[in-house]
Amino acid sequence: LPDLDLVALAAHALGDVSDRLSALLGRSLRAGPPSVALVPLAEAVRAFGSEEAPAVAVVVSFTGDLVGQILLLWTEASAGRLVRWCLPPGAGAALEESVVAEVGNVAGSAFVSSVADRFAWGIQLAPPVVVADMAGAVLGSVLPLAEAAPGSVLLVRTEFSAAEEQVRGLFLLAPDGPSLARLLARLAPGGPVRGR
Amino acid sequence: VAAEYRVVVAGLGERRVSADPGDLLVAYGLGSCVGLVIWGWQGGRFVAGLAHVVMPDSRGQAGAEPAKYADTAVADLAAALRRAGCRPDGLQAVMAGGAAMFRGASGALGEIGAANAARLRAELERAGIPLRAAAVGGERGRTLRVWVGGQRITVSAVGGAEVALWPTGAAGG
Repeated sequence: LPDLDLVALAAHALGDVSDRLSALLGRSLRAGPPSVALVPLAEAVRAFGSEEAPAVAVVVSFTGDLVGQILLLWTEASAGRLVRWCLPPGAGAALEESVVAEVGNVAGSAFVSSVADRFAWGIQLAPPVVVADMAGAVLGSVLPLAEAAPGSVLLVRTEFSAAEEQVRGLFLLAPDGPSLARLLARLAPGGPVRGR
Repeated sequence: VAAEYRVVVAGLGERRVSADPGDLLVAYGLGSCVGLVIWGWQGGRFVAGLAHVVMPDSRGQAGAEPAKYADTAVADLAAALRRAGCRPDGLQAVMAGGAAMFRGASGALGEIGAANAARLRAELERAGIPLRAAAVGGERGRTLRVWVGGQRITVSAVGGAEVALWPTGAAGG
């Protein structure tokens, strides 16, 4: 993969994601350097570690000039911390789910807006969907819908961290095959955005 | 107990077959995916196969990944068991998974689990392989385990206990 430009693109977009999430949560939450790789499906599902590990996930599908899925996957403890930063104790499960959904919504829209603005593309986001279950069950249900090549997905992956309290979250961008080709065409040497 | 077994994982789209009594075949974290087990006997020896089925329809493009698709996984697994010496008319099956993980999601995200399970049922019927038990549907992920030496199959949800799927009967679905 000619992934250097994809890494730069993802790093810039994740900077926007970090800024928007920090504003939402009232804490400094930073995304680490992203890795970009074409990964076999079975391997991608192990991105979080144990496939049976309990996780809280929010999935945002996107369509338009880019088609695919964004996932934010948090450990149960980290999701609890995010909720605690935003809500008083005992706020109730519905509100807690709303916080997790909003985190996904903000992160997804920040990332997609960053990419769309750069290329003047039209990209629409679906409402975020929240689920708490085994990490493998979540990833295995979403990633096959965004195969970038037969049997493989393009994973743009990073982990979040906060200075005050440890949170562990995984950000995954999984575009489908035609979307990956469109991205690479725009990023290719001599392409419209080269040198920006 | 699991420590006494050699864990053999069937990841997404993968198929595993074993007659080794020391093997534990596992499909972890089945969400919309379905774990399909077909087993038989070679002489008096229990032989089991596990496929981690991901999508309902290969559209003729299964290639080297027949276990990945519901329309090709049954024939692929049955053929593997026949090659291992099992009689075709003695094969039996169970399956687990096929959940709708994302409540309220539209399109494939919400429908693929049910489509996987339905296609597998149809293919099993077409192949004449009886489905002895199924734990499918719902909104929770599952892990499916095949204890080759114990000749039993169990299923569990996140944080939950193992439930016998076979031979003691169906666990839901």
